[in-house]
Amino acid sequence: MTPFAIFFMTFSMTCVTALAGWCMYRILTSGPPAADDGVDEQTVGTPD
Amino acid sequence: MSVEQHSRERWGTRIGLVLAMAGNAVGLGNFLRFPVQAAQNGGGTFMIPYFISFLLLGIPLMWIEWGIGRYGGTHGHGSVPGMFDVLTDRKKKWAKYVGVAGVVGPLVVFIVYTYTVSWMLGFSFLSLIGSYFGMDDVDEMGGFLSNYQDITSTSSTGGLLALFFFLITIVFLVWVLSRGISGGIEKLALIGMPILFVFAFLLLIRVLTLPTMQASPADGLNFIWNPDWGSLGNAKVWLAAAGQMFFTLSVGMGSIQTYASFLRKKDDVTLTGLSTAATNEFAEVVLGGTIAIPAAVVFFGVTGATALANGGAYDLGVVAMSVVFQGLPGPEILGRLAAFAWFFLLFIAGITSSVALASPTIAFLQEELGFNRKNAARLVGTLGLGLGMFHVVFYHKGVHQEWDYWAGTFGLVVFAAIEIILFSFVFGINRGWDELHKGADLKIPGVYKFIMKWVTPLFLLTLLTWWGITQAIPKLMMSDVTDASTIPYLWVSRLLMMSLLIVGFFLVRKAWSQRTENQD
Repeated sequence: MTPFAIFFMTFSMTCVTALAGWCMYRILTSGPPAADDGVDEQTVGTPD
Repeated sequence: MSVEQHSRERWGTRIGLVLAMAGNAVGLGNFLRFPVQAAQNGGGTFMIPYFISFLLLGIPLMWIEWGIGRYGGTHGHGSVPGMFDVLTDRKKKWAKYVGVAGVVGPLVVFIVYTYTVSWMLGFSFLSLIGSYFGMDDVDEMGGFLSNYQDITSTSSTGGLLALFFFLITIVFLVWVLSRGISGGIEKLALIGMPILFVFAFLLLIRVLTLPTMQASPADGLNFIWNPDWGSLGNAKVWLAAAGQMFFTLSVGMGSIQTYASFLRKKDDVTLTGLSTAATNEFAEVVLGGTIAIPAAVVFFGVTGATALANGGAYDLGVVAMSVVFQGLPGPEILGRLAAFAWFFLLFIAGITSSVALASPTIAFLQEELGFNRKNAARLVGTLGLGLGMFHVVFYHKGVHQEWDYWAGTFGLVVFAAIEIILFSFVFGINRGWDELHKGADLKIPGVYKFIMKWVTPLFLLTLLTWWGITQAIPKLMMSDVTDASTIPYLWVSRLLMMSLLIVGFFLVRKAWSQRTENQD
């Protein structure tokens, strides 16, 4: 492999792996979502 | 007239949601289309416009679609017509009709895609029993695939077998879809996605440890990543990178919005949306770039791999890889198992995307027309089977490519352009920005407010103009058709797609009329 091919491959793979890993870490370590205020449970009108 | 009241379904776990969204995004394109695009468009330098497209197109659209979906869901709409209606505060009557594209588009792609996904299941089975082992030549293997696709073939591995696996795939999809969001789609993702990643890692290791044949695995990686600096100034390369971003992230479809509609009002969309995009990129850049093309280079050399890549995704992913697995060092059973792992990972990648593509129609049928989930799933399965048969029977007449181009390629950019204009200019970027940050676990950098309002729409309009002039108009005029006998089939394809759109408009009109009556 040429040095530039090695650089592009390593750089690209490192960037996406780091981003995916960081996101997953944040998700797995974040707390539960903020409590709902109870107004989002919608009803759907369905004629029969 | 009575009114049935029901609350919306919800995702069971956050990791389940991320995997389901990633399952939507990770598809055949990650493993087959990406390496071909990279190799054909400048190698390593392709990654420069690719990452810029990720930052300016992919991530903003991903956040916007998650935001639109959650906002629509909190107003009782799981499909785009209703979401566009509430984005305009129900003041623009046309918005819900424009939103029909976000239901019919994914339905058309679902029909096209599910048939090809069923091939992967069929080839998983044929690999395990070693049906094609012994056909260690690309031409012979190409004939095997053509025979499998040919419904008139009477051989034991011919079109009837393909039809059987298509039926199994449709039945499985209906079963998953009818079990609901957390009981069906989320469980499929929680089981399927880890299997996909494990199989992909095993294959990656196998490919990288292959002995040198026509070339070495390092030559294969060099083929993808070696930069061609001259390509950086080529507009075609930049547009290819932007196009790949659409295919890979599944933006511009309508399915992300439907999945996000099952979030609660204060569930995060910024970090979870970014996670989905990042997981998809990992699957594409790290795994997708390291399996098919390097393996093809090892077995066929750079020249042979180039010819196979130019022949399209199926020449590379099915024909070439089937020959590769037969030539793996060691006992034949290991080759069969490796082939099974490859085709089954493609099946999982495809089936999780198929489920997502069917979801907007199911949500529309349930919430706007009052179907229960099981009946909605059955109707979508019947449509998939019925219209899918058109593809099964007339596959060699070019109908598959015709449907795929209008709904799965050009349609995505048109839909995304409309969607971002609605979000940034009609709903308003300030309101949209606040909406995205409700319950957010990640503060989006302020520069993205400017990107969402100006850069991404401009990028999309450039892409749309370029594709319109260079591809869509010639395609519309059929000036690229080489076999005149296929023209009637292509017209029937267009009529069928137009009919689906017209039925969609009619159903939206009917649903909103009933809604008005109920309110009165």
